[in-house]
Amino acid sequence: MARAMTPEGPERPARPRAPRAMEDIGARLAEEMSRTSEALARHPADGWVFADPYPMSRDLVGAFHGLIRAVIPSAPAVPDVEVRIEQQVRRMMPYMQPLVAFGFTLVLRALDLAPLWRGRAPRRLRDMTPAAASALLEELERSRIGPVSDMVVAARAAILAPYYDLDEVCAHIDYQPLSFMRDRIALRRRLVGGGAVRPSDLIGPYSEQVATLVRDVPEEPEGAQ
Amino acid sequence: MSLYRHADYERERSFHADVVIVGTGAGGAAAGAVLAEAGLDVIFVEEGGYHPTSSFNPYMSESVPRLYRDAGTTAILGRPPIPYMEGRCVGGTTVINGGMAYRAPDDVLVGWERLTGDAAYGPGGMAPLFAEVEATISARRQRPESIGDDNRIMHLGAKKLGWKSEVNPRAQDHCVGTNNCVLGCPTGGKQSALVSTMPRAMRAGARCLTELRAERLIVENGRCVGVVGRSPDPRTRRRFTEVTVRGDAVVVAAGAIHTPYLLLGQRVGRPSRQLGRNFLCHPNAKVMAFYPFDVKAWQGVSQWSQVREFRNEGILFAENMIPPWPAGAAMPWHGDASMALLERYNQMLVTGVLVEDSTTGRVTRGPLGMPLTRYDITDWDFHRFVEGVKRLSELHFAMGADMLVLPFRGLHVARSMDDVRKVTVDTVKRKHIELFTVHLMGTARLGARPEDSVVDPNGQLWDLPGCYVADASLFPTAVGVNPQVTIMALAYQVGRRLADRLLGRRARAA
Repeated sequence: MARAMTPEGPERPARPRAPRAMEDIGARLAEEMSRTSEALARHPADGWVFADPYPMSRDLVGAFHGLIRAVIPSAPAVPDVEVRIEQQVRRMMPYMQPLVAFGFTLVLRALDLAPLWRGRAPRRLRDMTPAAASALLEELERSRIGPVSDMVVAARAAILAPYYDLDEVCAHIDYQPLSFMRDRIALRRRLVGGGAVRPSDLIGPYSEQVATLVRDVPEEPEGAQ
Repeated sequence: MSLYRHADYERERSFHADVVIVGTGAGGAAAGAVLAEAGLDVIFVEEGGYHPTSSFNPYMSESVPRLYRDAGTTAILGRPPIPYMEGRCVGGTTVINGGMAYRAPDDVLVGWERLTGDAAYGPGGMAPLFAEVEATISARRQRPESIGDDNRIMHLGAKKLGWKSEVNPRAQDHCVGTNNCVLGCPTGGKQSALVSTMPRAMRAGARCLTELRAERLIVENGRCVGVVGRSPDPRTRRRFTEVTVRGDAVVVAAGAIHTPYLLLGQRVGRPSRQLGRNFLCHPNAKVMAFYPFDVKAWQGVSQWSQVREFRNEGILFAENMIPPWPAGAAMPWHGDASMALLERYNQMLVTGVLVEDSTTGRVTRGPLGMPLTRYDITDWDFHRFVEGVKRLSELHFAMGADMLVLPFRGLHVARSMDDVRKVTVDTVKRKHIELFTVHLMGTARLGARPEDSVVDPNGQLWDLPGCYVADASLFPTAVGVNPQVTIMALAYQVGRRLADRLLGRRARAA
């Protein structure tokens, strides 16, 4: 075994290992770490405290709402969509690096004023129709000036990520994972408990094309390495 | 008490243990488990929160700020910039990764043995550690009931083209293909550190201080004897409570970006000036494919297999389905054009081209607690990305895809191979390729000599006794495969040697 070249530090008296009670607490915690739940709650109650929304002036919130209207699709109709996206983004911002979060507020300002500095219209983005604002953003994204294009990419990602996480939007695109996940949690419990796999436990094939593929080219057999 | 949160630091702000471990990811938790099981008093210092398996769900709204560093807004600077994802929670990145469980290849380990002058890091020395890690995380192939149509298309598509496709070993026990790896596995099937090594450490009496970011090391008489951390008020994230944790040794396992960031603040790593250098990241580019039939790729495991036909060129392909929120955020369109594609989410398959590093980057300290990471892909990398995307596109069109979204700004849409062939190193710019990574490695490299490495073969800093590293920062060179198993094996090695040393000293004192 190779040895470090550095000297060892001063010796201290031996410390007893963790007392029994501590190990019991640790064992309970260890069990809790792995315990499953079918709740799959959007706001899980695990004792964690969520940060307050990042502070923004009313004017900046107005700019943000204008940008949201320009970025999100026109359908489906989602109640309070601008407020819900704005609140979600503002609740994530305290977890970002302070410079990044502040930079995002500058992006909101810059894009709100884009019609002016781009020479498109004597008004702010929030005052344009969503279609016109959306078209301007597309034009900005094609800009040869990297930072201009990057601003649109950053704002779009920040807005569309929470948008596509909304229940109404997930339902619209037929992505409804809760029932699937609950079934899988129950399945794993059954398998871990020694239950057998049933044909209905298999996933897919969901199309004739894939079914044909599977028939023609057998999958590798499952097995330990 | 064995798990602490911010509110607990009002009562207790000073802790003492045999070993202080910064980080609870693949490396920190593995080192902590072997140290605690050896009978040593271990305290973890974890910047993120504690979120048990029962709290995991398919929603990004709270999961991302809970589980991801900086709410997922981290990026490597360079041409092009590369967004990266890193866990910030108990269990670290293993909570949000795909759980691939590959050993570092023998040819890589032969090099490591030479660089460290230590046979323990060669193929023979690492083999038993890999076996131990694989047993810990239950590394094995997937069960049939976890495999979805996206897995079938990729694997069978490769076979159709005569390409080698290997079924992945994954860190999983009865994984049933829930495909929520990126937001925490709600079934407990993925064997992240949260459900494998951390429980072992906690059962052995370890303590875990969560919501506490290690800000600086305590150095007395030239020896590292602890860390000072700050815990932000959970509501404002602006007021901080300072906590001191002292120990006989400190193991830094904060990942390949934050480990050098912390150590650079101590002005260590001076003999070689290698600390923060040698940054590696396995960049990858996404190809999103749309098929004229339902795939429902969100059902079934992520990355059942990898296409390894082009491994000799350092190119891998894998499917890696993601939920609608990152898919929508990553698409190069907004408004109704975005929705038109997401309405085909059930026909969508997300795949990636992963390229092995041919260069290195560097981590430095930036302002306001922010590390700055710089990495520029080379001409050779760019060429391989262009070629890799073409070959992966060929697979998709061979399997019936009707449209691809390519990772090149300005040349995103391909409806046939004719469109794909328009993409060349001359028609797209290097800065316009859209990359991404989750593999961060190599910034405090192991070595045999202080002149060209940061830590010695025991994992101890050459110029700071008592301070050890046990994460992906240790990698002397890139591994070319998913790094989790190698990180854990190195952490076992560092942890065992440290335990031997501390227990030996204790025995001599007795």
